[in-house]
Amino acid sequence: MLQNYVPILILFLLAAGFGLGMVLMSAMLGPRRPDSEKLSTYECGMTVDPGARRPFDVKYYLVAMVFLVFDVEVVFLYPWAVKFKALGLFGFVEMLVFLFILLVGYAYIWRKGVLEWE
Amino acid sequence: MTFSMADMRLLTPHLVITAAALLVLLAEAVSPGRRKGYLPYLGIAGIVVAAFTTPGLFGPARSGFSGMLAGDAFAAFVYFILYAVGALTLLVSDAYLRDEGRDHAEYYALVLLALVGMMLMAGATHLMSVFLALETMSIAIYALAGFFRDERSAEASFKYFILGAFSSGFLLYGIALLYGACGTTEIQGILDAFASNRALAGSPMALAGVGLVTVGFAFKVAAVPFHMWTPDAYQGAPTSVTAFMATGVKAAAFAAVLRVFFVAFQTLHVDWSGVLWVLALLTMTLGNLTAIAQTDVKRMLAYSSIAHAGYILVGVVAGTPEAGAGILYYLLAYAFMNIGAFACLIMVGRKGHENTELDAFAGLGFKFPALGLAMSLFMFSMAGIPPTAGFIGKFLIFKAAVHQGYYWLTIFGVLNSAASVYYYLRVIVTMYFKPEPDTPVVEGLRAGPSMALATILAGLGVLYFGIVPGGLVDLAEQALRYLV
Amino acid sequence: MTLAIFFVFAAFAVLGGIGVLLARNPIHSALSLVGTMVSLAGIYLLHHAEFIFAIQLMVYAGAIMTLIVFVIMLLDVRHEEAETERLGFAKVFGMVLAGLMVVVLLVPLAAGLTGKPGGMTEEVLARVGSVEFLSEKLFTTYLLPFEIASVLLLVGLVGAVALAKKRL
Repeated sequence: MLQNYVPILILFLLAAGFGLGMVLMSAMLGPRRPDSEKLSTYECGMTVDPGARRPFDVKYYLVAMVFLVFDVEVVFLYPWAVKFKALGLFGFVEMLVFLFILLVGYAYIWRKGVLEWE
Repeated sequence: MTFSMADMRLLTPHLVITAAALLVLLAEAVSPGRRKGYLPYLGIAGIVVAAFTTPGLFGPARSGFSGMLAGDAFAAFVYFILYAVGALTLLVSDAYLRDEGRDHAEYYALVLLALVGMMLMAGATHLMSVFLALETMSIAIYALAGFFRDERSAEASFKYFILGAFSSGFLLYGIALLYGACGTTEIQGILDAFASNRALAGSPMALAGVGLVTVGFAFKVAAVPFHMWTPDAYQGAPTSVTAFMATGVKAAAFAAVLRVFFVAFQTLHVDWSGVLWVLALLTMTLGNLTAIAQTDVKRMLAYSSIAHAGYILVGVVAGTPEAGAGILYYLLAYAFMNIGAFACLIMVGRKGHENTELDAFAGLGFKFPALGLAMSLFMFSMAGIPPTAGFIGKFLIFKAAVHQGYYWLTIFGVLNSAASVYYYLRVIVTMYFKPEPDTPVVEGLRAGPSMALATILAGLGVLYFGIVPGGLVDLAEQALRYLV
Repeated sequence: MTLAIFFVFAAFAVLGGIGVLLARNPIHSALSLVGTMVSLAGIYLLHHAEFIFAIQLMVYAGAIMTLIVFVIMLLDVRHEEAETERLGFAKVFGMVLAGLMVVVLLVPLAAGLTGKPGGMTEEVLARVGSVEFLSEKLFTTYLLPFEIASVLLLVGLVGAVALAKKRL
């Protein structure tokens, strides 16, 4: 049963190896003659603004949190879909209740303007 | 299919309160951001309806949802404690939040959802549902603790969240080890596994599981040395949330503790009672000693809540149905007296100023006689002075401990109780015997009809159950009879 | 062969964990954590928990890591970098706790595993299917916890809005 995953493993190793190889190769093969112009950040026409790292707005966090909640919700749908027929009407109602509770949450955040980018 | 309409019967109270929470959210969705003064009363209506569906659960123990949820007198008793906590919290919150300009629908939805989590925790008979219920309750409370969004409130929320998440980890890890050892996470199943296999009690995996579960719960009930978060979390949170945390979380957590320790770990009493003996002693003593040193009444009540957890732990150590009944009684008494005391604290504050320093209370006894009377009553009850419910609660627990031969622990408990009289009475002395400063700190009371009603109800509860405890004690004993 | 793969994943998981602790840049810590999450996913797969494997990748290595990175960006953590050298109470306490955790982990192992073997062996799982089995359990026996989970998610949603939304 695990044999099915061997191609994934191979792909994973190839991808990791490719990425790693490229980084290593450019580091080993490329000529390196740095000067201050070359090392400075390239910004078209403007004076270079130091510090790309500034605090993000908290609304990113809110969006990420909402995404996470509905991501987890979707996770529950997969096993349900797999056994949908066997679970029958009971399973259907069960999932409806689950979805309804979250749907109320969805209606709430929608009307509340959480999804708007102010 | 492992489901029937009889199962739904056990879940009705939870469903009603969940429905109330969903209605609150839907109301907010219909008119977002608009002021809705009826929301707390919608919540209370939900609690009242749920209370009417609960008495049917008294009686022989039943279990539903494939052994996930109990429908027994024990669960029903705790539900009633939680209804009292929830309704009083909502009553107290109304005027308070409006005055602070934070009366948002989210608050009421979170209180109701936390209440659902607490109820599920009290009814859960499977460690998996215990854990999920605990998380539902805790996450709602983390958000509530930070609801005011000022620095103190955020700090309270953050500290509680970090240590709460940590304790959940311990609990979950303990559950996993117990599953490994016993092959099940059903509370009855764990009992059967330990009862049928004597060797299992000595297995390191099982013992490590029991130990980690103990640590996880100790965090939640704020037992020393797992109490570090309590003072800051209780002091920084909005006062109504502090009252909710101190009473509701405690009731739910101790209900789960009773189920887990009195049923699942019943045969291991020799193993865990020693550890809890030490925890109980430390919790009582440290809570009381640090409470004495406080000059802020809200912080003092935080430490006092640690001390009260210690008294309740004495009952857990005793481990008999008699002690369990005492604990249930104590949890209800504590709910009344603590919410009452916090309601008094809310009343002396004004927007942005809590005025909870002890000096702010100077002379208030004569300036506001009703407040003075109420606060004195709650302080007497917390100190355990008859004829209040606080006295009966301590008496029941200590009596049960003596019956099991825990003389030393009882002596320490009584000594602690005596020491605590000092700092509770200090509040009363300040209110009546210290003159009010020339520039009064508290000019008016933040009291509305709902606040007055909550305080009166809490006061009546403290007095009524203190003077005629018989019926309630019988009910608590009946609850325990079906548990063990 | 399986055992060899297990050790590779286990080694990467531990290395990732060490990376989280030692990296001075919080973003590097977060990336190390991704490594640990992915390695753990591999270990779950070796235990025939295919569904958990998929979730581990989707939810943990995906969604939760995104959230962690957002939070790191949200708090301008540069200031904290300088303070990592001090040996404060928190560090000592953390070390003691970590030590205790190791003891708790090792004691049951050293005493020989005394756990109950479960019924879901490789052969049984191959016959009924891992996801199918999980689905059946989740939607019948574990119906109540499943529904509690939806309330839990709702609480998370409302709680996040209550704490982070600019205007309520």
